[in-house]
Amino acid sequence: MEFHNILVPVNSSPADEEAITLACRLAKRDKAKIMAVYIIPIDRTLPLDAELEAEVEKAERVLDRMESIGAGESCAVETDLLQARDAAPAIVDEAIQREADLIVIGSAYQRRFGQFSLGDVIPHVLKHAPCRVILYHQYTPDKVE
Amino acid sequence: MYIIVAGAGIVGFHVASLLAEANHEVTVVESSEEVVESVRRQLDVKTIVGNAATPRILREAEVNRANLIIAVTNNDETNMLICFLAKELGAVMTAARVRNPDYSGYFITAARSPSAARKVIRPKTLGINLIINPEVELADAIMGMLSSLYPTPGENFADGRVQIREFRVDQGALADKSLADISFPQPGVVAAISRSGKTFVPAPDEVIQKGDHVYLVAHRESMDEFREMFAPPQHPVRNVVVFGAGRVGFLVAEGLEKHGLTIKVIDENTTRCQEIAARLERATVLQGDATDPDFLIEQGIPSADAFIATTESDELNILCSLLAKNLGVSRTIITANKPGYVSLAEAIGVDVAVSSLLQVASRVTHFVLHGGAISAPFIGGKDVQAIEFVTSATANIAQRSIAEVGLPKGVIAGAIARDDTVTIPPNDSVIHPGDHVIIISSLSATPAVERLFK
Repeated sequence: MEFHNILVPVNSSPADEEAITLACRLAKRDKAKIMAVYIIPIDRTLPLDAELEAEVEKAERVLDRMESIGAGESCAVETDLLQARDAAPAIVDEAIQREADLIVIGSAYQRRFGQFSLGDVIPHVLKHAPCRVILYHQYTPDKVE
Repeated sequence: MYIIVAGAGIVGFHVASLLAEANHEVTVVESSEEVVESVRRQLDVKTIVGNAATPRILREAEVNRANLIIAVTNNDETNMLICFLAKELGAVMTAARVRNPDYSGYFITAARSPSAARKVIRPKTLGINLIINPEVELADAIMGMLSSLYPTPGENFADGRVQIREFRVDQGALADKSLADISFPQPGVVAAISRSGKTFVPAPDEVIQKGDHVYLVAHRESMDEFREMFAPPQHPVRNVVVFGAGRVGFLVAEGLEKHGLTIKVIDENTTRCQEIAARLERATVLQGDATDPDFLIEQGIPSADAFIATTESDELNILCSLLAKNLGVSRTIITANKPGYVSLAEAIGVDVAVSSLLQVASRVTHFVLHGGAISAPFIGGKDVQAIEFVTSATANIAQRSIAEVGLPKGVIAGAIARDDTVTIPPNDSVIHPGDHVIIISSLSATPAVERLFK
């Protein structure tokens, strides 16, 4: 199994840092390209090309962090910033556009209505992804039921 | 670090001299032979005559091993091209001075379909790590001063949990007391003192004199109590006069207008006044001579809360702000192109003088990182630096206390920030890996401090 283009969708969750480390380790063997993508969700009250300075600043910080984690693993991480209505279809689109052969996506433990939940993004990506997906679930011992 | 400075104008020269003084290996690239000659005479740097926006010259400057390239020629586009080429040729970091506000660095690409995601083009995509706009930096600094109740801008550390602020000792309460005798209402450390134009890190028994500028490290939330110790309470600013409708003047006026302040802009140039009047929504634009007291009185300037002089001429800025002060304006701020005028202006009665050069230098030095440091702004001029380190597990200082290690002369530990706790003064607590440590150091002692965190 070889990977050449690995897409890692990131936001500011702690699971992303581990997901990018995993991607770097996978990439090293096949000299694959890693693309970290941050998606700014745009509220429907705003146009898609609205300029959201604070959001962009936050995104830059996250992407910088991803680059430095990559550098620590001696792996070049390409970073990209997108604005979209919904993150999930944008991730799938980006994977198609960039001909990704693997998506590594991090998931932190979260609950919704008192139940464990994967959120909206991950199920959509798993269902529609045009390539393999590795779901990296962060281990948080105090939260496991 | 190996640093290339492209363009040896006022900013380039100043940045190069600063970096050379801090023992970095610096190469200056400049197209004018005359300028290069003067750089060679005054600074201990390597020089290359030629156009830095060409791969040949960049290769000659050994761009492939550069840790940082700073493009500060007169032309925005050239600067961006230099960064782009340098990045492609192997430079690690790039910084460009870009004055045109249209190049904010970010733009959004056209979409393939109305609902498709938009790609945000970032300066980094264009090979630029840092865009420096001196005018925007200056305007931000001025607005920072006016929007807070502090007379001067502050520097933030450890995600804003720790601040360093400058206070002037005017009243008798603190003057003639030694640092050891002063008890602060909250934990705080005097990081540096600026006296007659020189900034230094004080010894524990240093005596504070009237007129000193004191730089204080404290938790952000306790800063207000310190302010009350040093300065009489200031009332919020509502009416502001901006003299000079240049780029800085316009940015300040526009920014303050957004915050709902009443603005008057004065400029001598009629065309410029018309231009700016069309671009500002509510501000009153006055065409006239700000050195004429009758004109100022007639226009009601004496009732303003603050007077900001932002013309190109330092002398005019100083003169007009003194005049405004004389007429009764309580706060005066000027911009000074020549860094040497900053202390002079403040000595003769201007409240705050900000220099675009020092702002740019401080931005660049934030970037010229020392081993493990994440931020390193200058404090009051260019003699003292506040450096924020994130302690690594292998650092010499890890798992030891500052008192145990012993800091070199001219160095003070300001604060340790760990998760939500901030320790000030930090001398007796043990430093753990991951702690943010804020160290204040004179430039000559910086290498010794870096060794502690290696």
